[in-house]
Amino acid sequence: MKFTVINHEITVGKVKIDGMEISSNLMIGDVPKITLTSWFETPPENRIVGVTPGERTTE
Amino acid sequence: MERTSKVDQIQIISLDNTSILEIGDSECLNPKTKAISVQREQAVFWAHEFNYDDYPMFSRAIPVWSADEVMVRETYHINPMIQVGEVEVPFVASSSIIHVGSSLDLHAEARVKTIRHLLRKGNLTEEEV
Repeated sequence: MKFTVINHEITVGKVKIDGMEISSNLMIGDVPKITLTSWFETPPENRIVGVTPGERTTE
Repeated sequence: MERTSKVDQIQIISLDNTSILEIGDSECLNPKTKAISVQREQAVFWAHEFNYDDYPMFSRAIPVWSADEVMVRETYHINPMIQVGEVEVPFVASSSIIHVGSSLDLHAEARVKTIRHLLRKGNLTEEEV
């Protein structure tokens, strides 16, 4: 595969982002390789109902 | 040859653990995060609870597809400047990268488990156990 890129002028006034979540990337520059991974495990599978299981050691 | 980045102003309020604000060039950035977020109706927490080892998602290998396929890449920088007036990112979460400048390899990884722990009517309270 042949890949040709021609970069002309780029001028950006303002970049406004409300927030970046985990494993995200804001790049102002050149980079040939980016790998971003994130895993989430969220309810309802992770819902526990009942008291806290605990050893009765007072801390 | 990579381009030069010029940013006049950056506004950030909060950067989380293992997040990166890089000003300048870098070679390889590799932030990793593991987190267990526990919300309990009754805020009782024990030291022995919630070890990463108890949950397989923290030790399982993440399948990574190779980005190293063979290709001929030609890049011409007619104008070798990237200009940005202002960057505003109030909140940056874990394992995130804000990069002003060039890099060779960015690799970020985050694993987050959320647990909600509720008490229901009829359950024993902590004192009654």
